Amino acid sequence: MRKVYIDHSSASPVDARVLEAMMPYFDMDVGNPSSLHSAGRKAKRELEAARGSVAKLIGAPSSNSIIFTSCATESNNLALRGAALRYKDRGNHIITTSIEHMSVMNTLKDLQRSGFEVTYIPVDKDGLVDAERIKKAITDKTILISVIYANGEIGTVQPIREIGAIASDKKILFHVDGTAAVGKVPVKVEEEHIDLLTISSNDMFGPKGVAALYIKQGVRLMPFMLGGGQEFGIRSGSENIPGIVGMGKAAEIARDNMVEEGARLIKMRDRLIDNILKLEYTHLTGHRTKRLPNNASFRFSFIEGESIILQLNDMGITASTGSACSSKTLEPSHVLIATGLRHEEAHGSLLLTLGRSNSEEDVEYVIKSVPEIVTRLRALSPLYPTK
Amino acid sequence: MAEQFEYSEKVMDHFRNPRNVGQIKDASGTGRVGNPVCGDLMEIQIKVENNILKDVKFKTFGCGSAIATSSMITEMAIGKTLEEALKITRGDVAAELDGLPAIKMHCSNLAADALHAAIKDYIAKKEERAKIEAEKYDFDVIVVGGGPGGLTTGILCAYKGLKTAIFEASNWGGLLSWLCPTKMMENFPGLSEKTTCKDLVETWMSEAKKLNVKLLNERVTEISKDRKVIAKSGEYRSKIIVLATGSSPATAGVKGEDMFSKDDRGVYYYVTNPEKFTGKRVLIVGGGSSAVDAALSIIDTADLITIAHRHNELRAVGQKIERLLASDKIKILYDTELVEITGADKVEKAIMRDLKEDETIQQVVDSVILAVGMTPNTEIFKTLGIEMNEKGYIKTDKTQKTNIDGIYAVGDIASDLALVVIAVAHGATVAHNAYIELRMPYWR
Repeated sequence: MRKVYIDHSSASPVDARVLEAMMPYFDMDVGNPSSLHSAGRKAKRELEAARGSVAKLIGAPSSNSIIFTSCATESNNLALRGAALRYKDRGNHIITTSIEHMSVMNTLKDLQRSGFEVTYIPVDKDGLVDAERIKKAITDKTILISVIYANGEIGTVQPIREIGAIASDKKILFHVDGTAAVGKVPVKVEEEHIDLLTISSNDMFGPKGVAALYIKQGVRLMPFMLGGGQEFGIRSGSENIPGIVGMGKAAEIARDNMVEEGARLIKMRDRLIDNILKLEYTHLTGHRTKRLPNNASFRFSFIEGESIILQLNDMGITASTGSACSSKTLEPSHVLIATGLRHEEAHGSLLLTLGRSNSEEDVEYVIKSVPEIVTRLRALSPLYPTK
Repeated sequence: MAEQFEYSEKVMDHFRNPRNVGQIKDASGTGRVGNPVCGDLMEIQIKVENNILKDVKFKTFGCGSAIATSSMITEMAIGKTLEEALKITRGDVAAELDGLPAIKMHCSNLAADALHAAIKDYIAKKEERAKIEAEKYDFDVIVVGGGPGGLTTGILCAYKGLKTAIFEASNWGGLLSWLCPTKMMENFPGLSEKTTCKDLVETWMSEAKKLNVKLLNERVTEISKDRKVIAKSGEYRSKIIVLATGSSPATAGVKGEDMFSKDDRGVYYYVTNPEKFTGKRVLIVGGGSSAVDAALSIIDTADLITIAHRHNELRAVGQKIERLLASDKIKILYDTELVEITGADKVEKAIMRDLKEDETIQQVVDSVILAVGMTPNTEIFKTLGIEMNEKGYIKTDKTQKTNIDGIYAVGDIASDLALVVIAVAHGATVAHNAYIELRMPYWR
């Protein structure tokens, strides 16, 4: 049976070149970058090279604006909490959207408990946020705007440049969660007026356990990981050198291949979308064109996502759903709900996220398998209108 | 024990190959639980026959465990009685599937609820149907005829809780009341020593009244195939009709019979009052037990008794025949047939024929008792299309059902033996089967 991994937004394999670059730093070159010996200096050089590579990927003018963290969730926590607490004297109002990642949602919820006010800007049915609505929500207390670059569940890419211009004009800090976007679409922090950018490693085929946060020169954050003063005192803790080297390599590959790989993914993505939408009672989630190159997400009426995933799994296809039945909280995806879907509609969602290893043959197999499964499950469903 | 977080092989098997998917045409009950908003919606349909789940089918919107539990419960429930199926719990379903992940135990384990809902739906519908049916009918059972068969059928139906009415055109108790009220119930074990026919009828009437049997002393003029009974007081609908019209003494069809059989002019068919025959010369025609009984009943009052019998042997209980033969008042003419009864205003003479000798015999008599047998009172049912034999007796199966749905027959009209014990047994048989037909109990 063919095996197709098409769940890259959940987890991605580490690129072989990345893995190769990392290997020496587990057992051979194990110096601490703070040490003065040659091993330490080598580690320091690799650390700074990785910083430079990540900075280059996002068009940051200085590599010193990149700090490494342990995961994108940490980067989001640090950006939001660090900025809010650092600038709380200027105001207590934060603006965000209703389709942020849980690491943003829950951090802001926690800040609300300590006196901050958060405005959640809704999105339209395609998951797009309206920059004008953000502008209108700004008050003289607003200190921070946080918008996801592109949501991994529905793939919709937000008008970041437009929002960035508004924030810049109003001199409000602008944080962007670039987890799903960086490495897949060209993100340029200066042109898009981004002050804080969360960057994931695994989402661009780097290792897990490492991520980064871009902090524009001049922006100060209140650190919450205190210790030896690593990462410019903003994020103490011994540097994860193998991980950071891997992330640096991943950023380099992403930058080099972005145009070519992006075009290849878009072609496969559109083929998935065009073919799967031929099924009756089937809808695309997210925006048709303003979407990540690797994201094809759907919802099927009358059936439930976990069942779809288990059936696909039996056919060798690994994918995701936003159904409540597959979540820990038994709540459907808040992102799908935010796009105006009813609960029962959100339950029937299927998320296909392509990656570097996927081929046209994989796409062919998925296009053949999905309708079979949907038809089989609908035959079981009391909601499906029988003819 | 570590918390279960994966699906067992059994769950995956039922998820991959769900059993009994679909809907049942003419389902006995449907249960729908859950809500698509919560992620699970189950619909279970059942087919119930004789209180047993003959078939169970499901359709489910939901996750793997929702589908697997639905599939599993159909397998668990088929073949079970409703009571057994109602005892199946969510826990039983999960256990049968080798457990479910903890998070699924509550949200996606609704199959037992759906099955119970389907059974409750079936029960509610059944009760509703029974109510509507009950309102359409005046009675569960109408018995036509108030003789031994009719009265006991009515009593036993009412005893089982069926709403019962009995119609009787003349005397309650039938032949027992007008043919032989003072006779002991001699061939009814248990009653022969102390109970007369009249006593027995009185007891039955008292029992019927206590059980609230509606007793209507009027003639039924018509019975329709759709079980409508028309009488003088109105039309009555019944789910079941029991024919119990009994039999009457047969006429002999001889010359003069019609002339003297009315207004006490000397021709009788049975003895109601032995005193009436005091000092009379009586001819009894017939050789069966009714002829013998008639002779014995007047043995002390009549002056002379002649029995004319077509055959050369009497057909009655041995000891009765011995009593007859021992009396010097009695003369038996074997192989003799009555030909004519003559007289001016009252009976004066009987003309008979000796079949063996081919001679005519003339005998002076005051009374003639024609005890030539019984005829079933079934003439009126011919237009109804009830199947009968050539002698006019109604054909029934062993549950006393006739060929027409919902119509039963009991007593003399449905038996070779015109006996009270047989009629009473018919009553018991009909009450049992009528109850099954109307109440559809699980034990049938």
